[in-house]
Amino acid sequence: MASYTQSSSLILSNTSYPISVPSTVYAPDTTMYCKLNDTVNFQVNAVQNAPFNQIGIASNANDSEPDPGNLGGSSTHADGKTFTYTWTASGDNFTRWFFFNTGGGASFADSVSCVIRRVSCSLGLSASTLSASGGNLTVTASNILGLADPSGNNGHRLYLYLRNSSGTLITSNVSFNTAGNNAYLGKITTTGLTSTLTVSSSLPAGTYTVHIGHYGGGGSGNLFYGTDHSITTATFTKSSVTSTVSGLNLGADYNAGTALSAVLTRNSGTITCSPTTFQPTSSVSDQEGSAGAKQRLAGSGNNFSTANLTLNNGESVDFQMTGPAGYSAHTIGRLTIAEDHDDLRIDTGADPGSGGSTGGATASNYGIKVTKADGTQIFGTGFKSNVVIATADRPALAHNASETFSVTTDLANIEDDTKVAIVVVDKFTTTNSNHINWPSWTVTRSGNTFTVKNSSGNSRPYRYVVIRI
Amino acid sequence: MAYGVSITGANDSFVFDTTIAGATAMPVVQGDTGVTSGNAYSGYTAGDLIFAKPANSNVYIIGADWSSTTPVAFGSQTFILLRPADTGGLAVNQNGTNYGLQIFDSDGTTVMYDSRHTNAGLDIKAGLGAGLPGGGSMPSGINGDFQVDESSSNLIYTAYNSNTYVLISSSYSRQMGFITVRYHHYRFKPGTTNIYYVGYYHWSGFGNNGFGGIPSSSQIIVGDLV
Repeated sequence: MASYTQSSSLILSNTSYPISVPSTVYAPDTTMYCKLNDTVNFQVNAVQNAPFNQIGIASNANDSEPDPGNLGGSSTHADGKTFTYTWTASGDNFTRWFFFNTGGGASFADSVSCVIRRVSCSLGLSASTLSASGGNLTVTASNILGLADPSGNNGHRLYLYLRNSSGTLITSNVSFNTAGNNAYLGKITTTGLTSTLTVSSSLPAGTYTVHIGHYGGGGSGNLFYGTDHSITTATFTKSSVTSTVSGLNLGADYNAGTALSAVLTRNSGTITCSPTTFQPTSSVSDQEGSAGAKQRLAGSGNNFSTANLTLNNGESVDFQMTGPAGYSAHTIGRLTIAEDHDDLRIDTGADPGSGGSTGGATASNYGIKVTKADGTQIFGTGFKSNVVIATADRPALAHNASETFSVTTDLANIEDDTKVAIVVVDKFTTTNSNHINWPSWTVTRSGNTFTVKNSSGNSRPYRYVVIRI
Repeated sequence: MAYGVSITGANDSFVFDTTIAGATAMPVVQGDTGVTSGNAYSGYTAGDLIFAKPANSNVYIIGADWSSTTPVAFGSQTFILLRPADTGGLAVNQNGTNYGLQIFDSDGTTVMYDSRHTNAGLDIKAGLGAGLPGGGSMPSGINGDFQVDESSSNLIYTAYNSNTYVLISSSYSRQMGFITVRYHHYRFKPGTTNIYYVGYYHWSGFGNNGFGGIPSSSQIIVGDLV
């Protein structure tokens, strides 16, 4: 267990019991930081030429518990005495010892106090392994007790640092995003509980321990990363094997023809990880145009999102993107899993015009065509029309309830929303202007079925219309 | 197939297929009708689909309030009505002729398509799935409403013309106490050919306010009236 020692003379001051503060930069309003089972020592000297050179201690004052352990039942002690306590009080995180000159003529103007903060916390890492290529780990401190709120750029921090299996401090190939001048020394405060640790590929393979420690003024070793000051640790292993993935394939690019804003969903293919314990990160991005690239874990039924995913060996990702909103254009979306990526491109054709004698979208000269009197085509080949294939009025659906319907189409399934539109018409009516609820419908498709869910705050009737377009 | 008509265009574009049980065309039964903001859509019958466009370039956004039995327009609009062909009572003299194309279901009586039902057509140009645009607005007022987010994520169509309409049946537009909600609204941006999805909530009260986007919850369909 560590030992911390500070000392002070009684101070002639208009302030009663000024705090002895060895470092106003790193530990303002504090004499010492320590941990459970550490020993703290505070030596008090009488003021030079004071009429009496006895040291009094107000051991019954507020905040003074726990008291020094060597008072011997007396409130008066000799000049230069070191007051000491081994911190076993697991329920206490703070104490302040009050010392004064016993000379009544000084009216207690000569005094000093010693503030000791006992800190504790837990530490977690976002992963326990990194591949040979390195990567980022999120370091999270929790359950912090005893640490004062941050002050200035440096006051009241806990410090993060790494040691290898030999106990050697790691000062290169690692960096914390909360570091100051030294990238290898991260900082945690009561208001900033996380730090991102970046490990480069150059860090040798091995097991590393992430330490979190308190400011070590009065103790031994380095003030910030001395071994005495380490509160707790978490470990990770950097592998010598470069982790890779295989199996990523979004398939061929897609020509949406004249369908604008076409939404395309593709599966990534089953991702095989090497080693199988590797948990790759999956991310999406727009490479060209407003592709609106999103993803979800395949089979999860979750909404598509731009958020990163962490995959396990054998899983796959559903990738979704949107085609151009205009003609003769393209969008490109990208799915990146670990070191691999695949791009998917959606193209649209030229503006087909609006029917007419050219046949509109097909420019063909065959098929069925219905025209009105002036020759304008209103139905038939080349005319992307709308045909209702299912519709029904539904009674009120409760909040968070859902119901599933099946639909027959000429398609293998209805999941392509460029070909099957599902429209929900909310039919809730009220004349109460203070009824604060609005519709929130979710439609999910699977095979030849679709599910309508009411996420609004109240029961609502509705009508669905399924349209083949 | 054993009987009927299947019509498919280039790029696998769908026209009609009688093998789809219960399929029925949606002819345009009422074209180019004006409605001013706050009024009901004339001619609307339950089951119709309403497609609309702004009445003029001064209309900032369009939508509809379906919280009353009869939908009410938000923003002055020009609209058309589409009605399933198997609906009884559809006029069969809309194009002034008695010839054309008639398609029946397998029962021989249910009408799947009848060219006499309409003298117009809606050529579908874009179908955009639910949940895609993020909606959003900015709090500065424009034309009595909030400035919509015209970022690319809300851009749903880039080729609108004077005959372009957007499905308004999924719209919701309402003020509830200190909360305003508008979603499945659309902005036909003047001076461009762009249509933007609009969806947001805004609240103001107790000396504070806030706002946020509401994504689309239903399919967006854009088409040209011909």
